Amino acid sequence: MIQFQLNGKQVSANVRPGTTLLDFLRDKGYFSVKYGSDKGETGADTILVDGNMMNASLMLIHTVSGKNIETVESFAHGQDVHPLQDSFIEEGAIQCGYCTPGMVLAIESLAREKDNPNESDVKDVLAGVYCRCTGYVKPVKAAMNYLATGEPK
Amino acid sequence: MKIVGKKTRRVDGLSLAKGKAVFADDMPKKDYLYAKILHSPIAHGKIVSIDKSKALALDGIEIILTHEDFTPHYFTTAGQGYPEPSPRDTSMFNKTMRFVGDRVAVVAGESLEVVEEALALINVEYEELPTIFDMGDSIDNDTVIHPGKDGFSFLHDASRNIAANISEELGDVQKGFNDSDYVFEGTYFTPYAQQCSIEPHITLTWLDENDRLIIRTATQVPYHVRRVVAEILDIPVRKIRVIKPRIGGGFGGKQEILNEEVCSAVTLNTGKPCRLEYTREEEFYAARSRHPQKVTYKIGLNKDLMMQSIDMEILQNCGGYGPHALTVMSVSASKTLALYRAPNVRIQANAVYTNLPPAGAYRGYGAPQGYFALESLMDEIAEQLNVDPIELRKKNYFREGEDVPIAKVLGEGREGFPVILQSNGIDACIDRGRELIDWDTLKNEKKSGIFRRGVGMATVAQASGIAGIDMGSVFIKMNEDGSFNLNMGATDLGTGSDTALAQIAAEVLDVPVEKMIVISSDTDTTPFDTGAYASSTTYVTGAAVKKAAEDVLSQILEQGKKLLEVDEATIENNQVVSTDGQSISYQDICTKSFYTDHQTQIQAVASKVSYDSPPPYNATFADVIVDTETGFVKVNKIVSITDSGQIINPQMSEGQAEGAIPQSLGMTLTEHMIFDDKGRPINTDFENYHIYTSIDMPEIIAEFVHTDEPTGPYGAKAVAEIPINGPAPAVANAIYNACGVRIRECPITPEKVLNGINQLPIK
Amino acid sequence: MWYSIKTVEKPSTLKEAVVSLKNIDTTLFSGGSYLVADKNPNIQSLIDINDLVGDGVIASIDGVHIDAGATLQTFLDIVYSINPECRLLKGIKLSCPSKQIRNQRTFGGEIGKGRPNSEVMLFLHAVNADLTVFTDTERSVSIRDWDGSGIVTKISYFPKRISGIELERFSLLESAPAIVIVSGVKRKNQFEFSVGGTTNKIQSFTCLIEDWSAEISKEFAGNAVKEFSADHLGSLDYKENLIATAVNRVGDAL
Repeated sequence: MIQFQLNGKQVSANVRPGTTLLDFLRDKGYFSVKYGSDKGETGADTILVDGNMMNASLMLIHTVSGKNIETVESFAHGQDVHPLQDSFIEEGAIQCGYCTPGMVLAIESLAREKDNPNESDVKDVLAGVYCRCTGYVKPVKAAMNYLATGEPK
Repeated sequence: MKIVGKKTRRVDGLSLAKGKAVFADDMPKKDYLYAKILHSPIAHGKIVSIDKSKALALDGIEIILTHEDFTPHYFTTAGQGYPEPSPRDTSMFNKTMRFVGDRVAVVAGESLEVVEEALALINVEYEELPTIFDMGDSIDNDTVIHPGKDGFSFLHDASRNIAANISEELGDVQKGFNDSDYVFEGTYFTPYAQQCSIEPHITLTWLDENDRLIIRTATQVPYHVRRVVAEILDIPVRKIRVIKPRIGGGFGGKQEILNEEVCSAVTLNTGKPCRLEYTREEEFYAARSRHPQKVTYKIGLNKDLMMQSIDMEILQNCGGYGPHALTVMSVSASKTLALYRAPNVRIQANAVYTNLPPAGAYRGYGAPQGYFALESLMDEIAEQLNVDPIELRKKNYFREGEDVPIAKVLGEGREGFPVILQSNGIDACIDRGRELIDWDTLKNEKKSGIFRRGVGMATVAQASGIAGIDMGSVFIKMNEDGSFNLNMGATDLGTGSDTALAQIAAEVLDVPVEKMIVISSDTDTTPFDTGAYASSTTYVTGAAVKKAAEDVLSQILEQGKKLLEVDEATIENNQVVSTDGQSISYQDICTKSFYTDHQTQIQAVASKVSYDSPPPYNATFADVIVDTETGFVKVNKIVSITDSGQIINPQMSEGQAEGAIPQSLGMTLTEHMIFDDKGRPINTDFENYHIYTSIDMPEIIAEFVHTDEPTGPYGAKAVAEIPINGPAPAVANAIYNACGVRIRECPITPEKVLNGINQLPIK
Repeated sequence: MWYSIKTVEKPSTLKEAVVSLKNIDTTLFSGGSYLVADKNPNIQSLIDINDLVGDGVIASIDGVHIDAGATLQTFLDIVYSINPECRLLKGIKLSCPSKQIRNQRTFGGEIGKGRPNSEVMLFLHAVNADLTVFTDTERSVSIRDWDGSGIVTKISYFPKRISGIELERFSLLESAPAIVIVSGVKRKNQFEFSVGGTTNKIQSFTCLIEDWSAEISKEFAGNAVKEFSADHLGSLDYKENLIATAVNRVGDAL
């Protein structure tokens, strides 16, 4: 039995040892965490573990014991929208949206970690979140707007 | 205009940003059977026997289907209008395997684990056949890849391995060359490249409470899926409902009936829900890709630089089967030959079978291949004649008011329709791009040192839907709070078409976009649409939306007049206002219409098929640095300026160009599906197949110039595909400008560049 | 889902871990990013040693000590932040462009995997890092001499011993694994180069600074290229040229 925090709630997982966190989360209906590839490259499976961005598909369930996991489901409650998500919408940074939750988590982890991050910091954290729609232009803008002010422009 | 041409937040933005359960696989767990495909390990051979007994004996395996379970029904996986202009050369399970990754069987069971175990236990005996991997060897090879299929629908010549052929001539090309002062010729190659949508192909099927087959699938073509699945599985269309939820990128890869029929077959045979998802690896070898093409252009010009003759020859590798084989070549020709005017034009093209994966639709659909050739050669001509490449181009463009005869000759598998150009903003595109890239300075500066900088450009066109074929239809109804349901078959594959179409409706109806409730792509609840391809949605379906909205608007006006009991009124700010100053709101009109007065549902349907397909235009400029010691090319900056008529949503349109550019740069410099000498794929993950990531991106500037296309909704032309055509030739031309090396084969690898540098007389 | 995994063992000592490792269906589990990506179906049991090795990095001018359980990102956070312009450290970042994976991948795992196209490996070869390795007891061995046996628990190097360090990498994209990576250091009176990339193994060469010339780099390249193969990234001739160019640039920069 593995216990950990998931979006602020204590959860326990009684699953096989080869279960990845991606398997577990999707099984439990956390659909913002997605399959994109088997080696973590696409980062569609991005989550935060104790605030650090990681690939859920590369984590076996036993390694999250006692950790604090966050997915985008925790970001906006009810009708509210997190200012970073709002910035993505406002800047037109979402096309198909498959990579958006991963990007949002990546930028949020950067915002928490670093004061005044610059554009190359943003590109660095997005390097592990593949997007085939936007060419990263508008996601980087959306991130910079949010990081500069905490609000969409 | 209040809404068209203005920034508008996406109608699906909030749900996507929040990571809501909107994609095909985001379904609460049913008791799915998990299905996987057993792929052929050999490139060419006959299945002699399949022993599935051991696999079936596993606990949890529900069903295994192979060619033995079906009488062959030949179809094409291409998601095209009926009759599909692609060879009907495949069946759900074939007895002959034609590429590594071809489909041998589907296995379905209680868990992926047991299914994977079962895959390994199926014993297939093959009789291997000789293979063809080089498309140059295919025609008249002793090995025939589709023997016995001569006469199959849209299959050109099976016994010669020619899936599709185009031979057309306008005027007399040879005479044109004889009369020309100069004749230039060049041959260019573009490789297999993969769409790489981040969401792989995924299909879920189940039977509803009425035993109808529900197909929830990541597709660009829900109506084609319904038609083709009904045909293959021999069930009535009325028994099938196809639902396209949000999809995680398509780029043409999902303009295919790829696995829907297999997943459906499992459900129909077992009565159970089934889920079939491709892995990333399968995406690379068992989905579709861009057709490799060898394109030769021969162009004759007079001393005044006016073209006299253009001769185009295409050899296209369509792989083991021919989805989109004819139409991709047709687009390579029709989109490139519609840019420059020449009295004599000829096109000879063959799509040939090989034992490599079948290619398919990929954004640009043949035009990127054709334009890499044409726009490289244009620069070569300018170089050899020592004239400005921009001036050479400008002299030869088709201009507004001119007839583009090639459009009539090359339709989609049948004769097309004549095109008279009514909007062409190419000059403005060039002028703006030239300024933004600092063309005049960078082009002419002296190149020296190890790292050399150069600039290049290319101009390209595309089309706006397929004339006379693409059809979009919509249904709009009014609600008593003054909102409107907009139901349409059009398929938003991430491009934002739901939003753009809602904007068009909102503009007509004089309401904010928030008042539009968009439902799209559900074959039960939305009217027919051919689907999201050929840059058609804004132009074709947009026109249908405008028509339906105008109908609704006139009904609102009429109903308002009746309710106000006046003869003359206008619509202002969500109200019907009479000339004598009375007014009634949309809400009141609809509420009264529902419940009390002149009761009726205000609603309209409209369809649109366009016999025009006006070309959008684009000028792309590239700024690159070449490392002359190693041949590595780094792209500094791409400027992409497009004429798409009146832009409906500027922000989303820019996004289309910004995303298309790295896809093209990938094909130009880094992306290349490769195979070993047995036809086995080598690079089937992102560690070995290199797409542009955030840290690889050059600076990108994407802008639009304004023109007004009289045939388009609010003056709009297409956006989606055209920005992918320009970067490849622009980069090749920039490399030449930087270091004097002309590479005619993509991907332009460092070794090719360095070999070129080493062969230069003066380095 | 990694179906074949039946158990995850957490041994209480390294000694226990070494014993368990003798089973052929068993492997050491550190960060897991390589293992879980590969999901080798022959592995049934994982020996998770994360509680037995530290995850810290101590960096001072006297020495840099990296626990085997430290992630690549932990190292970069400490060292990269001191000197973000250093091409070599940037190279380390590109050994794994995805920050998610850098947050998961440990030095122990990276060394265990030992891929020759890892900039981290080229860096450790350049500084000639000492590995603390546990077999029956703890011992110290140079990374250049390590035979792959035992459990790496700590990695140490001593910046004072080198007076310059450089790295050159050639890849189709920054994010793509490099075709050729060359790292080099200046140590006392000599240059030491290590050559990696899409090759079978990392190779090292040294020369006296006074003997350094373009000819020498060509000679190194001629030897190094024997461990490379011709492929879609280039012919052997081309790769030889790339190696020579990289060695040259590293040498010049030193």
